[in-house]
Amino acid sequence: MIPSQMLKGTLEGCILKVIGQSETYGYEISQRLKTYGFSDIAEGTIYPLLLRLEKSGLIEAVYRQSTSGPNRKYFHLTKEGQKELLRFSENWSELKTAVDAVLGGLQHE
Amino acid sequence: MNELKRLNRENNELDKQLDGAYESVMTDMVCYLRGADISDYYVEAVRRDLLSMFLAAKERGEDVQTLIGGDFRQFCDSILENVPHKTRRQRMAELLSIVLNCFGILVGIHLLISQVGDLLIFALKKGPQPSLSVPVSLGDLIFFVAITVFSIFFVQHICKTALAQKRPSSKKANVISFLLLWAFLAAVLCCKLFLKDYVLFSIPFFVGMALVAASLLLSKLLSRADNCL
Repeated sequence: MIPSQMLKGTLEGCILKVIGQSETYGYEISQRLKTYGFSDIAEGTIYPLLLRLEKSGLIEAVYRQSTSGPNRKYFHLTKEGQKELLRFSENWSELKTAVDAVLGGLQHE
Repeated sequence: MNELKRLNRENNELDKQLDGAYESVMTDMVCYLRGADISDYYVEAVRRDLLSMFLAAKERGEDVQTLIGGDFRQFCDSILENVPHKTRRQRMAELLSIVLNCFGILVGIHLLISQVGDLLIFALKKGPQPSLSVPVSLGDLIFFVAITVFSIFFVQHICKTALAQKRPSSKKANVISFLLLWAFLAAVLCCKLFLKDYVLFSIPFFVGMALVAASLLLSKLLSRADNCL
């Protein structure tokens, strides 16, 4: 299980990426994150994050009728969201390289 | 029909489909959100999201803890962090609306109680014509203010503690709170009775009723404006 402190900064970027792939809804996002290895992400965990992303103007929501059950809230990226996703990818790549170098260095010592 | 009313009606319909733990948790969460510093519109918008989340989870056979975790209060707090809060104007409009509503109800009851007996006797043609002038004493004024302030704090307390963890030792605290509540009400009623001779002014019955109607109307208008500001 990934510690929540470690998850905090990265989960929003991952949610942006999932939404960027195709318009989707909360439960589907949590399921997709699970398939990528985020084992402990419930729909309730990502709902406040979706609200924050919506409030920041990075995603937009629209209610659509569901074939089963109540209407679903579908999310898609805004232009600002696409830019933010790009920034996240660059930042993550930089961080990953640095952390990998540190961990690799530690293993060599 | 405005957006808020439409959302409220839709949510009430969806709410009927919940049962068991889902229904109980939803009631507590909505109560907690209503006591928070967000407008009624955002309460309903969040409620709609939660209802669709809960109903879908119920269909999948998930329990509420699996869906949102065990700490409902923390979940609501994380929602509240990400919802626009009320502006100063909205808070003032809401407070004024509540005060006017309390004033309208309390003064309305006071006017009716003070005149209804005389009016009934007069209607039955067994008594003198009522004066239709209602005295307002210092006791009445203290009673109105105390009950209004108490109501506001009481509702806030219920909302804020809707998601509090229920502790085993809370039974004693409940008894003390219950006794304090009755002691307060008794003190306010005594104040009203003992200070009834300190008449501050008198108002004609129909002027009083017009004031009551104006207060209730203004309260309603402010409440609507509060959700549009």
